[in-house]
Amino acid sequence: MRRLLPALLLLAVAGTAWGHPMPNSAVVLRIHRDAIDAELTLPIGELAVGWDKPLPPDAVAIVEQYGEELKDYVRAHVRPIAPDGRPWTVAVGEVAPVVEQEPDVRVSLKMTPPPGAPVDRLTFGYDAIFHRLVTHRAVVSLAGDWRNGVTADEPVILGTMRDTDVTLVVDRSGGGWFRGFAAMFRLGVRHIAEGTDHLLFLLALILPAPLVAEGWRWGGYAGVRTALRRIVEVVTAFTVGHSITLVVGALGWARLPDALVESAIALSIFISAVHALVPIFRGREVYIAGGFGLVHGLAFAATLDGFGLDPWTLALTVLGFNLGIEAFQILVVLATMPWLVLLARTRVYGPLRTAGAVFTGIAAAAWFAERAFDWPNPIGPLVEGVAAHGVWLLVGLIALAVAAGWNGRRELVEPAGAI
Amino acid sequence: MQRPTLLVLAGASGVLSLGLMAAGLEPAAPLAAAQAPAAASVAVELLASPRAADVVDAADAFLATLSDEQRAIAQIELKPSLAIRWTNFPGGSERRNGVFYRDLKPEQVDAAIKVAKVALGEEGFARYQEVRAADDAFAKGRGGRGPGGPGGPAQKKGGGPGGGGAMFGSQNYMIAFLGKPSKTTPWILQLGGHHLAINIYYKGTAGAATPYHVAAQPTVWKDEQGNTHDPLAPMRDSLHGLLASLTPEQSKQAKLEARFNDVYVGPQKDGKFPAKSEGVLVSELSDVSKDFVRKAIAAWTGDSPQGAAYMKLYEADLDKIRVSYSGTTDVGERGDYVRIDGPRVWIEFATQGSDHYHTIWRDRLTDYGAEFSF
Repeated sequence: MRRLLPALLLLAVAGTAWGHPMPNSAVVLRIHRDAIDAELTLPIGELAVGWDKPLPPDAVAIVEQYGEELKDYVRAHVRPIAPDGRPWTVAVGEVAPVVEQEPDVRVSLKMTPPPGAPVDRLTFGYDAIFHRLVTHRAVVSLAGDWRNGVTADEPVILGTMRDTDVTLVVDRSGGGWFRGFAAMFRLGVRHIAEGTDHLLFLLALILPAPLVAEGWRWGGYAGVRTALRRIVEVVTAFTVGHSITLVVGALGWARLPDALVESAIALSIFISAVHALVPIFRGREVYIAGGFGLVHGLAFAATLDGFGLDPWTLALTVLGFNLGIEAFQILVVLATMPWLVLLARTRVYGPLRTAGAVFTGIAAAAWFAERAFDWPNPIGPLVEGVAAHGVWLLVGLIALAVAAGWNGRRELVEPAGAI
Repeated sequence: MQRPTLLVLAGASGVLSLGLMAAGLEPAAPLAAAQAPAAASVAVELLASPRAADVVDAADAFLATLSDEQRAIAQIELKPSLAIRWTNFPGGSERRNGVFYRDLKPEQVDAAIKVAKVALGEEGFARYQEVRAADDAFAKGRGGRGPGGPGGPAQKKGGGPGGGGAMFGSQNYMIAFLGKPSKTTPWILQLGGHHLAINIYYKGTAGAATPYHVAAQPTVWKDEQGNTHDPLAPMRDSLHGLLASLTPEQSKQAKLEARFNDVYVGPQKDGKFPAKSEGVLVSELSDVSKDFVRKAIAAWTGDSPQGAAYMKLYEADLDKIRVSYSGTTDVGERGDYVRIDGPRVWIEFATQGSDHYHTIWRDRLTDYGAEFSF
């Protein structure tokens, strides 16, 4: 959610640029099984005029001074109505300051339909701010509708409300568990496909898998069977690790700050990169992969934040999401592993492994600097840019494997371990 | 519906209802309802457009300087969905039609500016240049033309051909032709950019000058030669004079309950006038106040070569015009707003800050030459 809202506001104002201080309100809805959560983001300058209050330009002070009054104001301007005309119940929860470019206040609401009325069909009445400030707009979006596969990752804009459009008909009926499950699966796939850091981590882990450790150096080829066994072990351990924390996180049992988790992930990638360079935990890869999996799972859990799911839906969510992650992981492993195993038998593999490890190490260090110390640098975006051409990297790898295999037919490195 | 079809329909229903009335029968309700909008478009007569032929010549001369590719961008179809693509925002082709000066060679820009000069007349062209100069001053004040902060929305959204980074400044203005410039068939000239959207309609020797959106930030500045610029001074000062001339009772009647941080019937709000006219009737005002109303209207209409003709129309309506405001009567504080609302004339002046005005002039009957219905 923290990442979603600024993006949404940008969407909402559609490029309302600097020099035009007229931000819209954002109304973000999340449909749950028996209620809808709404989150209103109200720009202070606009609120002061619409509400006709001399609000200071300081979100924290406003929440302290006017928080309770603001709840009453909001309650008077939010009117969800059931299809049969009965009003929903509106409970105003937290009022929180938002300190960004332009200060906002954020108000959380819980809207409950009257007994017997559906939760996914209503007429949403709303006119906060623009009942008086008639040039103001509110963009209403849906950031959670499990049964229709809508998540905070890809919110849906429902409409724009203004002084002449104070009601919005919301009809989200017709969804179902399979659609939700499929959406979670896609979310999982996308999470890995777009998560360059997770991908690099995975590749760094399997890079030394076909090799034999000789003290503090990587030695020769360990053989196909050993290589395969190690890769399967490492990937499985990673999966078990992140599945555990994904469930724990999704249940809301444990929650660590995003920055901490993200930094820890960067660190884990760095350590894996070092290991690909010189063996530092040979033989214990399974535990390390499992441990790092625990960390990565916490980040996955953050993606599922804000669903407020019942147990059945939660189970489907975690299962779908995890299967999506697995599917893409397996795809990556299947696409790269044969070529790595082939290359591992040639002299090219040493330089290739070193290059891969150094590249991954630099990327991980840059991410760590960015995430842990808030020190932005151009390396992160650069790596993302390179990763966007991942298919070509794979083509290059295949070409290299074929070429090296051809040239080096007679000078294969002899297997050092048992085949 | 096509205009000829509308005309035939309106004519037919007119004859029919006359016949029914002659027969002492009431026309059926649906027929009366269907008749209303069509009849309105028949009644509207476009004002003479004294420079229409010269504008076509200048437009042809400009189009002749363009490559085929540029011409395809500059001259597009005359249709409502394209006509309404204008805005007060900075930015490029994602929200405006036409070719941008930044993508043209100097001689091509000169030819475009010549079109503006002929089409706008002396006063209008001066305003056009001053609004662009204001945007240069704004860009300079920001320390460059780039969109500034990292991740700004315009960086992602921005960019038509050759665009992207640049947003502010007199080079980021465009010219577009909806329909082929012609001395017989209808077409629209659009001139625009940040704080500017001019839509001039031509049909033979007649035309229309609205919607006309003009704005400025900064509103007042000094250039390097030490000259003071204040492009929207005639608008602001006449409206300020008007509000100051009202009696307390009139002021009370004129004050709106609603608040504004922008014009109300702005871009993409064509035809969305408030259901009810609000404010104090000009017929109730003193002669001094009436003169301020005239002066204010003339500040906008004067930007068109058709200004005198518009002024004559609005003068005839003067007593039926209503004047209203919101915020303070200073016309200078954030949230100050003034509206002139008549049977035809619609003018809004909105203050987004002491240094930032947005305004619009519409003619309720002939926006876009009444070519489209909204």
